[in-house]
Amino acid sequence: MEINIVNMFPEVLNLYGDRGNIICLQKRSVWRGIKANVFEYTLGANQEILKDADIILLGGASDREQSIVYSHLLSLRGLIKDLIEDGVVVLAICGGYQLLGEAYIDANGRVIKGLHLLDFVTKAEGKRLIGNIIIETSLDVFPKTVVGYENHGGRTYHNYQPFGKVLKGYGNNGKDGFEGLIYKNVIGTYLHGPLLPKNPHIADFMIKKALERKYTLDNLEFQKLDDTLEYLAHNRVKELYM
Amino acid sequence: MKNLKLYVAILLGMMFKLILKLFGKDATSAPGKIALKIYPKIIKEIDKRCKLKILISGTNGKTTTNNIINWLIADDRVVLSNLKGSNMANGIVSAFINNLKSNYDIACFEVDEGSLPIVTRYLKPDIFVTTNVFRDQLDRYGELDRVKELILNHIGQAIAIINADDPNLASFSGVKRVFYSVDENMFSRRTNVTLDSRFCPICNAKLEYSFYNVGHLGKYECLMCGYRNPESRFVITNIREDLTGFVFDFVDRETGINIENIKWKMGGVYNLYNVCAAISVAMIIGIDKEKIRERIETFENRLGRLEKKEVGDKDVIISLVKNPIGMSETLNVISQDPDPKVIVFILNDNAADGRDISWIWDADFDILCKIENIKALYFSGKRKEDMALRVKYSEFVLSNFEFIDYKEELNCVFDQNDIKKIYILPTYTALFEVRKIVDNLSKKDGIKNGNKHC
Repeated sequence: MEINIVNMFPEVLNLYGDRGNIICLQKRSVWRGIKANVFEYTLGANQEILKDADIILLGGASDREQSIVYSHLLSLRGLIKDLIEDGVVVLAICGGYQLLGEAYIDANGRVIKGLHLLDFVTKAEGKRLIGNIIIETSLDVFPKTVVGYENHGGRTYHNYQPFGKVLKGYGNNGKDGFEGLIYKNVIGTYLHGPLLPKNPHIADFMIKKALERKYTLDNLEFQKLDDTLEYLAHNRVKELYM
Repeated sequence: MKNLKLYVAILLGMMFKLILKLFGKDATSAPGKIALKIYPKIIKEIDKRCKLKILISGTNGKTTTNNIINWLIADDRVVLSNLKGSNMANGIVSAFINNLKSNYDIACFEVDEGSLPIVTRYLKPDIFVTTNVFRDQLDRYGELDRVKELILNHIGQAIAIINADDPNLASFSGVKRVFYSVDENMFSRRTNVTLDSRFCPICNAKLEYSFYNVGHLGKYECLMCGYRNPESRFVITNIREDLTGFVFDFVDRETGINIENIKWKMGGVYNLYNVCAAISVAMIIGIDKEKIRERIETFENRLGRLEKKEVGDKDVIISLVKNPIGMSETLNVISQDPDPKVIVFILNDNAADGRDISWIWDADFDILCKIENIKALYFSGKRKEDMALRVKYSEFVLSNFEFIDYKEELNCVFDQNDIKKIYILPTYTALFEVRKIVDNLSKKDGIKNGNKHC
């Protein structure tokens, strides 16, 4: 088996160690004998790369950098929309997550348009929400907890299935107790940067969904890996910050 | 009334220092904190008492640069400085209280980027040195652009000594600016994975590089608007390696002064930038060329940046690591050492370390594959598991490793008979404890007796 992981604009959307997620997906595929091709979709890349994507990663960026990629992303909107509807696996983090929505409304009330692939908005409100975060995910995986770090100024409001319930931290908006978003095989989340290495069950969920879609399989039998270190790190966050 | 407050502040600060000393604690920050509470304008008093004021700011290299500058200028002058790296307002006031005088020839302070607004409000620099802007503690300062603005906006009326090889800083448009740079050398790279800055600060187009020295420091050009490295006045050039470090020439292009074949004992290309910035300051102040050479050649680092100590028959090298560039560059330095060794990674996530440890994923741990003779890796600190996990997901095959509690078990690392070097790479809050532990071990001549917990 073979899997195509496309990292969108890695030269821009790479804030906070987002590289960790690519490394994690790639290694965990390879360790199972699955060939993993990582493509970097850089500014001015060929759209064909994206058409053959099985997993798409959309990272975070600073405001200035985000505006640099926005116009490039806009030209791909239709293609990404079709891919999402077809069940391609997407991990959109922080700035990437906000871009999926209709708009970002900044502190001065200015509306910065998003890709509007999904119906939600993000608003800048008050202080940044920063710190370790632990959630209980709504995905059908074990363990249920997902641990990470969040650092965002925007508050996101939506009616989709959340990625999880906040056990510790702020999540989407610090108010309703939910974090992230699930739509088909899209995960949008504020758990920034290296989310997957410490949450191998989420990484495996993504790889599995991608393979099932690609090879039209149901309930693919998945080789277990030795995740001792992964869960030591996972549990340390729970022990320190729950 | 004003004077009274000042004296009460100083007095209480000094009392606090004495109490801390009684308990064997370091007084690099707390006395200043007390004094600042009582009299916030105490920094203005420092400004008044110092004839020439030098500030150093930037992400990496502040402490080293500050120490080299001090070593170059302090000879027959009374200098007030925060040499140990306590670089927030508290640390600066503590330095004053710990070394109280009515007049100083020079104040030379490293200042944390976030503390610049408070410090420069009262302390007006005559010379302002910028090192670089990298990602560091984004949880504290937000984005790179903001850090850059923080630094450039607080230069004020000072002569700005700017790193020309950092595209973010080199766009500084002040009138009194002087640039320094490091030429291409055998460690320069054509490609680079750990890049913090890829876009032109003027027009946002992608920057093209002909080489990288450290991270995004190198020779860059924007093909869109033509922005490129400004012409430097001060340059380190003709860089060669010798057994103990580098040999280089330092050139002042404006005056034509050339100091040839300076022997520099510290490894790490990033230290060439630090030494270049420091010599630039010395040249501006008017230190004699031969004196600069002699002082640079005798500079020894004792401050947690590739700091060397001996414990029994083993060499211990301690190097603070706190961001991706620092980690990658330190691993690069280790890769040039063929001796049998162990590496101890200590990762804490206390406030002073930065609560967010995501940065370890941006560091280039594949460099571990290039390091010969690694006998074992050790992981320690509050987030040791994350560190081990990072290495597991690098190209290096993580097989012989152990988790240890550095406060209790660092001595166990010395038990290995077949090693010559022990590299310890702690984050900030572990640095001071590690140094103390290693100093104690060194006094005991190693670990022969009282070897507990192993």
